[in-house]
Amino acid sequence: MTARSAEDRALIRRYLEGDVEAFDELMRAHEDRVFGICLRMMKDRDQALDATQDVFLTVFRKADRYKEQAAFSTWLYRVSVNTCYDHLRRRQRKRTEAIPEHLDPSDPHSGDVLNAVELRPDIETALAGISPEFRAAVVLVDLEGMSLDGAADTLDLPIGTVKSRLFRARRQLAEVLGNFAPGFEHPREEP
Amino acid sequence: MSDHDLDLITELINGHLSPDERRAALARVAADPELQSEYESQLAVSSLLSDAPSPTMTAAERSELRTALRQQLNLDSAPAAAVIAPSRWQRWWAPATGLAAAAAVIIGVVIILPDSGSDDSLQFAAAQVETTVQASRNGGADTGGSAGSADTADEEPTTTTAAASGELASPATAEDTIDDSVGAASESSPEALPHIPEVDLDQLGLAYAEGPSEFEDELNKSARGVEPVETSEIWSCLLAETGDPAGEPSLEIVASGAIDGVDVVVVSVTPPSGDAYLIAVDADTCEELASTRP
Repeated sequence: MTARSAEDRALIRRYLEGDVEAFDELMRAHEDRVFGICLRMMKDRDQALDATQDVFLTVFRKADRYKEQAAFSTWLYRVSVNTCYDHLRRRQRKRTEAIPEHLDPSDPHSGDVLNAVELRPDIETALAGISPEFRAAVVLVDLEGMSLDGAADTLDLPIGTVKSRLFRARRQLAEVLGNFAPGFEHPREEP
Repeated sequence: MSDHDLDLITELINGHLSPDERRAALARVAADPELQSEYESQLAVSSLLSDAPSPTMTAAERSELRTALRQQLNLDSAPAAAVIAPSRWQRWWAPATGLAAAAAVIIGVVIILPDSGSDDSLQFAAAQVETTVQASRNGGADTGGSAGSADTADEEPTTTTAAASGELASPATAEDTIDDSVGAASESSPEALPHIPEVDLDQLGLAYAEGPSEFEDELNKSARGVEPVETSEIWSCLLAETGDPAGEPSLEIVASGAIDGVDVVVVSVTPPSGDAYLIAVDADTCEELASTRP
């Protein structure tokens, strides 16, 4: 068990005993990463914030059901991905999916989105163009640096399925982004 | 390219191999131009994404998030954690039969669940919303109860966290009484997203205390997004369990919750022939716990 994992368990116990400070500590430890997952899954900053709020609401309300056999973070990120799936589905139903080809310059958040994601817009668009299930695999492994095992636990999938999704997702991204030939250089966005 | 090659490339990129295995894998890749090209392409995408810095919230967003959560969790006013213990769930669901009737909700069936370790066996009602709601759902038949084939060809479905963590899913999709996200339920979705929606037990409990109409309103609100989980493992399992020689039954999750530490899903089963019944299963194992099956 990692130190973080042990600390999370202790914090959850304290939270369940009514220690509000434990809530703040858990938030500090995990809010940015949950937000990062949501932002990359949702692309839209406001929707990512909404999803992040829903994730923590679910987790704190169900804290008594957290089974300590698994790492708290695994559970948390699983709730995060499922919450994003749910938000994406709602968005799709409302037919406002419209992952923008270009961001509206009149939108005061448009700059924030790019700054927050810090990916080239074409990569963001490519990422948004793959299925949520494929995107989740790429977000967890490539963007969040999770191991294949960790991603499999988080997604509650066999590791073979995660590998398959990852492979297919990367292939789709490569097709959209162009030829990644050997020696290809990846220009970064100018600050 | 075989599945083995596909795995090999992913394992190479993600460091899942021992040094010897890695050497062998690299040799295998180097010997096949197609494999080599694919490996380099995948590695390039992975590196490109891995190098991206992690996004963070602004201070204002962080503050707003925590404030909203504190309010919703009643952390400022009530020091005790705002969590639902199974005993509370049991307390307010036990008399819910009377309430549900008063709220013009049709009580489906009362299921007596077997004792699973505690002395208190649980009795609860799985309610189904009134016929107007039912009729509206029938209008969206393509998202209806029969389990369709998952379209994620090579993939295994996810058993949803929401189910496993034991939230109560309220009865049906109330297309005519809730927001437009449900009003569009008849649209077919190209992506079968694995999910069982969250239902706020606290809110339902509060509405229950306020009165029948409030409860009904909340129940309808809670029905947002409730729909068959066609791609879930439990769905496949239920289909196998409830299979009928006359054809596939129509399945619909009507409730879920934690009972004595067991995550339970209650499903309404309507066979192609015969009467509908309810079945309660362990959400993790799909083991049948109780059923009103004739």
